[in-house]
Amino acid sequence: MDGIAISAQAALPTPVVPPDYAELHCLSNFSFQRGASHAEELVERAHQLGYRALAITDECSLAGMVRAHRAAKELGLHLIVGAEFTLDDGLRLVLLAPERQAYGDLAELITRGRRNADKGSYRLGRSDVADFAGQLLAIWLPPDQPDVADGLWLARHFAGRCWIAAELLLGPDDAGRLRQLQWLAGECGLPLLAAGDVHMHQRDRQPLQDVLTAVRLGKPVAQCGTALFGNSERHLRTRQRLATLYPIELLAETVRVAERCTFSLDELRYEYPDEFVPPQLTPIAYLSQLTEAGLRERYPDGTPPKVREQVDKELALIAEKGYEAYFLTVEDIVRYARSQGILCQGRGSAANSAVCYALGITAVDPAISNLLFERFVSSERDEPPDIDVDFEHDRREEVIQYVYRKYGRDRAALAATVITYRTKSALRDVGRALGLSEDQLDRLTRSLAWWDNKDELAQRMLEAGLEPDSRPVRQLLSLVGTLRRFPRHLSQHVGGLVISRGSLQRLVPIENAAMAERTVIEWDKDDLDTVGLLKVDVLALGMLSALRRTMALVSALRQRPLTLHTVPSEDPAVYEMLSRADSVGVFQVESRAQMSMLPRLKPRCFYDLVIEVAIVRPGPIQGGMVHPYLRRKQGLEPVEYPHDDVRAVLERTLGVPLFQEQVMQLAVVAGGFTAGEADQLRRSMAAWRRTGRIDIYRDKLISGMLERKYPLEFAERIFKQIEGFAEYGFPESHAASFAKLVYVSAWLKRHEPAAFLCGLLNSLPMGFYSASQLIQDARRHGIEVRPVDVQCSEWDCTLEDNGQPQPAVRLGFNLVKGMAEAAGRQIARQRPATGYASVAQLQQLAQLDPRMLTALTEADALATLAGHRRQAWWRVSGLDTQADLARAAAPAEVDQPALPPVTLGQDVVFDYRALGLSLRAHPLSLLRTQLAAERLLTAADIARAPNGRIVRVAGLVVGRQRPGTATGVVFVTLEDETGNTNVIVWNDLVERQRRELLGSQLLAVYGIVQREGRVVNVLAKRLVDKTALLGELQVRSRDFH
Amino acid sequence: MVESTGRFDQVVHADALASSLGLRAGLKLSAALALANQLTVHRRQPAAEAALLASLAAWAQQFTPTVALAPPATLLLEVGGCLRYFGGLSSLLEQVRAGLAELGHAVRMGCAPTPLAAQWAAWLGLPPVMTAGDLPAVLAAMSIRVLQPDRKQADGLSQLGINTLAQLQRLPRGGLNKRFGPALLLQLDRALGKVADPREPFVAPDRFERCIDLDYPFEQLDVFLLLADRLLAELAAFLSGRGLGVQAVLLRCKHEGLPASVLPVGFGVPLRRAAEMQAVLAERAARFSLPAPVLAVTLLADVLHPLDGQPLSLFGPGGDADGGDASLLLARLAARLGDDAVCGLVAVDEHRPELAWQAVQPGAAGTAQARGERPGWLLPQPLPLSIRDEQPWYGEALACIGQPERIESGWWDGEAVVRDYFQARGASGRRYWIYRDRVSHGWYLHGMFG
Repeated sequence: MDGIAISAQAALPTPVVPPDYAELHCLSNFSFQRGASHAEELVERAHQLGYRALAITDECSLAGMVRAHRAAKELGLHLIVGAEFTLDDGLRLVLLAPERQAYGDLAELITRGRRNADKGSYRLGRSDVADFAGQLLAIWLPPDQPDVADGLWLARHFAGRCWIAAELLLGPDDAGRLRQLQWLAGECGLPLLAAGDVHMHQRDRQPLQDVLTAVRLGKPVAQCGTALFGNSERHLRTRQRLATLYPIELLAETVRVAERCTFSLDELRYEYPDEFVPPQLTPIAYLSQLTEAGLRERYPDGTPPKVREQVDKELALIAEKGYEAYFLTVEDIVRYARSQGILCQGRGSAANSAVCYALGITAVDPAISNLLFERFVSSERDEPPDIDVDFEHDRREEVIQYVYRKYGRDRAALAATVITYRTKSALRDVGRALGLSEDQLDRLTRSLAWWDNKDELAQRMLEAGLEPDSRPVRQLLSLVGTLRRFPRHLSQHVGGLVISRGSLQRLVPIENAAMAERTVIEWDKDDLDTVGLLKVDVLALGMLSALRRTMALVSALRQRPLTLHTVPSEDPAVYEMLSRADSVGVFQVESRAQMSMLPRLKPRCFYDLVIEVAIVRPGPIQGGMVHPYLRRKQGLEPVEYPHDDVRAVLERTLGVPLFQEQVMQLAVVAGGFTAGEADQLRRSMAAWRRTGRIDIYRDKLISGMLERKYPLEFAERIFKQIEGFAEYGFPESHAASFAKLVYVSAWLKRHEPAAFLCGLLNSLPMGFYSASQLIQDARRHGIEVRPVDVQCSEWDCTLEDNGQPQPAVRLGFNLVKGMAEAAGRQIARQRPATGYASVAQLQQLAQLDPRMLTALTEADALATLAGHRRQAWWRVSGLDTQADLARAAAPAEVDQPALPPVTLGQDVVFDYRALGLSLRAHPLSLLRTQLAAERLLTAADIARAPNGRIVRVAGLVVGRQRPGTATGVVFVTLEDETGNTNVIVWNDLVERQRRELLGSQLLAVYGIVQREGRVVNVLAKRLVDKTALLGELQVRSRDFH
Repeated sequence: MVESTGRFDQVVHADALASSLGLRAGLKLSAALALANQLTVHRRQPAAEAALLASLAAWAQQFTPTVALAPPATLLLEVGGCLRYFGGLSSLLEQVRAGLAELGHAVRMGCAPTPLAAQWAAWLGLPPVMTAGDLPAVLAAMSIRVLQPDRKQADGLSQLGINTLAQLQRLPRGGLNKRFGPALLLQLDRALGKVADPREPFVAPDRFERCIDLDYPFEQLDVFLLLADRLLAELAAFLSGRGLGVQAVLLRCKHEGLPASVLPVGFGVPLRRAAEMQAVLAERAARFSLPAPVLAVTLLADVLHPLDGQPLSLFGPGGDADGGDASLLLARLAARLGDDAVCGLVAVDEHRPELAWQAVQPGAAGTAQARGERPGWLLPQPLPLSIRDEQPWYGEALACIGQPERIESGWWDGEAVVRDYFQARGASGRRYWIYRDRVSHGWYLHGMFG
């Protein structure tokens, strides 16, 4: 804390034995923009100071309570659950929960306050507090000029359970304040107790606390004046110090209050909902019954013995742990989705069980997937099973609303996600508080590579007009470092629904979400795990929408139903296609990184796809696992195991750990961890990294492995893996579910490409590719694509018979910019069997307003009706709006003028403008002569070029990617009329030619071909901006960062 | 140069170097910084631009009485009647160009029989169009962009493949008006002279006030003089168009957090040439020093004299009846008695005692309330106290009374205060306000109670 430290020694006499003390008024950083310490830090410090107890009393919130509880439990500190409130008439008080009923009251009061107000705020009045005053303890926080009537009101409602807080913080006149409060206590008949108005665990957080105040007030610290605290006394003070400040009886009173508070979060007993079990059955009997029915459906020829055995084992375990209701809850949700025709697929440790396959929660068949899912439900660990279910992205809300309907808002809510400060947001807030200009902040936050790099840091500071070694810069860096990972606000989890048997708001406070019709509990996923609450993840996945649409099209086309379960498995043609990296549109493996992996991995069976999905991830990449695996797979190096114990864990991945489960198992098998410890290691990784305690586990793991005679190098690699997996890990169970979708989408692309294109186009935006790219890929595969046409198109893209094995795809109105869905559907519905006779008839029948007509014209969808769009535009724009709509037919304007002739280039430009694509010609084909004159090659030329050849290539920039794992490298994708070229731009060139790299729409690259088998990249040496050639053609790049 | 569009900042102009790095108008500032992080960014000042255009209009009145403003950056001069006086068109153009160059402005000029056509010709840099007969052909070749169509109109015209005014003219009138509104063709008709295009003539104000806002504060007197000279040059241009002069001006410097400082400059006789005024200023400024870094310099000339006559009024155009300009009077008083002789005091919203009150301009009110019990007299600088017999000493032993008041604040500006304040009493019965610095552990006297 260079430059901003405030520290000094207490110079007052210290008693030999400091008195006991419990802090009963303490905010954590979950009192957003007020508290300046993590709950864990507060708990640790209170423990260190020998406090008898610590109450965490965040403002109308229990959001930080579970974290505090975890930390307190570990240290054996007595944690008291409470909250601070400011009522709408200004009355301020702290409420503490002495036992379970009072806790329920507190949670319900907070819920009421939060639900009464917009997201992020609360509103409570005295009558609300009175409603829940039965068991809670109250501490009044009187203002400078207290009103005796307030004290009397509290004394009446909290008879025998109310105190006045004396918070002596070395203000202008503490002695006078104490006298005043003593008088007040006498007047109200309330006892006085000591409290600290704690906002931070140590005094050196004061600068951060000032910054938080400044953020709250929205102005720089220097302008906050006395809105800041005048000193740094609002920290956890030593007991010696307290003894010099407070009369001893005020300190003793805190301990008496603490002793009355016996409630612990451990007492929360979660109960699963149970209404779906028929009355005469036990839950397990009902689950068994459903499972049997499912097995009969899945295996009409009889359940394979292996699967049968697995099912029995799983059911026994489920019964033992009492998890029947959980599986039944998920089954109920999935069954609802299926009844509505919503495609879904489960994943997660428990999802890939044989039971879930039988229940239809997952489509991964245990009979062919080797029953490799050992992580299912561990009998050692007392944690609820984990099932995430993906639903079609555009229909997930229906499922969520079903859950709300079924269980009521009283019993179901979404889990929270704690949004924390990241470097960028911390820089912005601290920077503003320190008075930096927006301009300087823009420069500092544009790219954050400098954060970890001292040289670049100095450079960047100079660019922003700041002296790198100056006080403001040191303060900025120090404060940002502390603020990072602070909670900022609560948001809703993407889909984690919490459902309870009784009233949920007596378990945990519920608040409003930003979205209407949504409510969110105050705890996040980890908190729920700790407390043992049931969560079902109801997630959205675009590919499921595309698959459902595609399968519906195929079912209609081929006259037989196709589902996830009935797509033929293990088709060699599908694997052959994927091995060629022919995967545009295929789930997960369509990204450029995956595409360059496919030809190396050459998947031949389902399990290869499981690996393919998991291997292109930061975990395996950071752990250096990719190349060893590939070499072993290709037989270039022998498959070896450092130890025989490891063989069982790693055999299926050729001795290289690729999945989260394997790494955790290694910690057990090789590092001597218990299963529980290994899992804790993974879960708590992020928190440990923050507090620097990760080293303890590093030492434990590595020494454990060395003891068991593993090479140091292997041990360190495993540790690195665990680090990587902690944040980006991909569990095998998830990979297996995703691999199923990879396979199904690949099968559709291979065998039903027209329907697949249609399904994808109708589910956009999703995946990596634009409509234009998907269409170009399909046309290269021989699929006929027909233009949008008011005489033929529907709202969605459709299939049209063309006498070929693969039908033609007719583009729909959904691709037309500015087109409203209702209007698009109306055109199709009202269309006479013989087609529209005139623009006027179209307008009249479909009730189109001028905006819709213009949109259609500009997309050239009127071509068959009104001639070329230039003529059509004149005609359509001349139609009077309401007047013409009302009249039977628009009066034809006589003077259709002669308009300048259209070139192909102009047409292509207008196509792109209105549709984002053109079926007429690729823009580059129009420029080919000029490009060829400059010896610029095509993508097809590059694909044939030998390794090491020096080439020039030009294309539209359709993608720029800067992966987090490849420092500073930018991957550029160029598109021309023959396909895509992949370009690699190294760091130094990125810096030198930033302008060309970021500013070009048409880019020429001079470079060298790098070929490894089928994977071809051009390593850029020089970039030339050729955008001027495009004239006014606007092509938007899709940037993924 | 950037301006705000409300949601983000946008580049409006890039100089040659910036352009070579790929910057162009219309780019978001954040994107511009992505291209070149070392950019020097200036914010557009629309008010200053308008003021500048107005003073140039006053200057231009030396050529013709009929000048019209066409913001943001065009002036229209009706020169038909004065060509002979200035020796023909090319001579006139040369005089205008030279005059503006002297003032430091680049100019692009166009001449045509109608104001709009002249304006477009200037934008496009076309040679003068002397007769109405030439006009249609010249206009026909122009791009439709001169009409400044809005986004929707521009899209429509491009859908129709219309790029030039000639193509536009070929389309049926009624149809065009129906589709694009009458404004487009109205402009064209005005440019052709088919429709009258009356312009409101510019009327120069009878006082002069111009301000130069700076991006970064400066402290050097040289810089101040440079800016003042520039302002005087503008004043001279303003005066010269109107045959007026000034006898006194006022220069006002704006400071961060301090009242403005003023420098009145009297010339004795009415002047209008920049060089003469600058000479007087140089002399006057020798006795002037800048009290603090300057953010902006304003030049005021409230009283304009006909060069041959008497001052219009002593206290500005309003005459004596409604009194003078109080702030001007105050500035004069301050100039006479010294700037620091006249001030008021208010409490400031701040924890640090030395910053918790402040001298302000007389009459200014504070909004803050003083906190805690504070001594009536605060030393300008805390005075270190010696220690005798383990007690702080100030002519007598000082005994602390009660608990300290702890004040810790100001870490952000390098003036951090980390102190425990005590009231202390001496044998004399005097009450002192002393503190112990919690970093150095030294004792200081900070004030005395009455």
